[in-house]
Amino acid sequence: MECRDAQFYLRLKRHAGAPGTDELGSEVQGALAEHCARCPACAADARAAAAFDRALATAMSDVPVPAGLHSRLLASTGAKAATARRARVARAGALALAACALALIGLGSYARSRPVVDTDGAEGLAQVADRQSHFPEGETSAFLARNGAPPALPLPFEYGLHVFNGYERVGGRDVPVVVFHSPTGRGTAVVYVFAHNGRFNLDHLREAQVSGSRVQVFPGQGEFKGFTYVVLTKNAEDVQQFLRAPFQRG
Amino acid sequence: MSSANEVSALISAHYESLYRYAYRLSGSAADAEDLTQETFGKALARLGQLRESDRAKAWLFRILRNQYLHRVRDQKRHRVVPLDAVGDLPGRTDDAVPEIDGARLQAALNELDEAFRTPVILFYFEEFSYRDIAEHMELPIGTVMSRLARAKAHLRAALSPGEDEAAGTPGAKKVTDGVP
Repeated sequence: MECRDAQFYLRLKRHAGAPGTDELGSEVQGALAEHCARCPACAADARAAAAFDRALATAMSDVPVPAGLHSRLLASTGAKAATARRARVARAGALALAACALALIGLGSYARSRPVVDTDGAEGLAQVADRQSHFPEGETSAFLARNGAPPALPLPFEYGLHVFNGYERVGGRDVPVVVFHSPTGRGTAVVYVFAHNGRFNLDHLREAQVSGSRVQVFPGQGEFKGFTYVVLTKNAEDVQQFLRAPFQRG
Repeated sequence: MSSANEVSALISAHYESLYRYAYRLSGSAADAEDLTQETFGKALARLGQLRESDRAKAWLFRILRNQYLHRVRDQKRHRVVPLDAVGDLPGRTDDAVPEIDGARLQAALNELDEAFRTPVILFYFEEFSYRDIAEHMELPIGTVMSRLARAKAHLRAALSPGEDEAAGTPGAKKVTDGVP
């Protein structure tokens, strides 16, 4: 090793570190020690560098730590941790509140979307029934129109026999119906109004009779085109007895 | 263990060395205490980032240095001269360095730009390896070696007998790598 190299390594050498902390490596350290052993100038430099390093290392860490710093740091971070905890709790609370609010809004929407049946609702039902009772033809006309059907039935029903207008589930879907009772009071006629809107396949709809019940099919013609009317009669011969007198047979 | 308890354990284990590092970096007891406190505050908030507990000390030192850099950013309180003006290498000398006074050392450190002050503090004070310092400062190891050699040269010159008047005087110039 030449003096120039020795000077270079002396600058990099950790002279004052704990054993094993010098990063020069054993090979370089060995060569440096060997050079210093035969070069008084570099040896003096090495001694000076080591003395400087030791003095600097000692002075560097000679910083008095203020009394009570440990307690102050614990208190400070403790306060920060508590604040963070409170913030987390507040955030969790806010999230919970938001979730509750959403649930309530959802519940409210659901509640609002349901028909209200209370005292007023019951009164409403009574009013509808009353109107249907007093103005059966007009109410039926309005009912049919509300359901997109022509505002009359294709047969001249006797509205004195009218019972009510409503819906029946057929194939899982609601179908508007108009219900009449027979003049004897024992039989009923239910008129189903099927719209040709693709919701029902009516291709195979045929008249049928089972015991006391009979089904008659009236495809809509003229102003009733686009609708099929199916009349289900029970305890009655056929639909004729539910029609106005001039239209009844015999 | 809760976050608060983990940080309490970190405080007990490292607060003294962190305070001393902060003091040597900032040169002020008040700033050092603030920096130490801020460091543990950050540590509490970022505890999840500490994956290896045996790296806690290096992690805390890095937080502290970042806090310090954040504080002094844009603060150019000293006139600066290139480090070349001090000289790169310590010349051959047989001068025995007497015991170094802490205040003189701090005055000499204050003259160094942080880019030179940090490696020399870490090298002597915490016996950080070149590799540790390079990682800490996110620098190539060769740059760390070069800066350390120049910083040592400056300190040796500043702390040599006869330099008392220059060190710590109001007109002292800050030593940098030439970037104003």
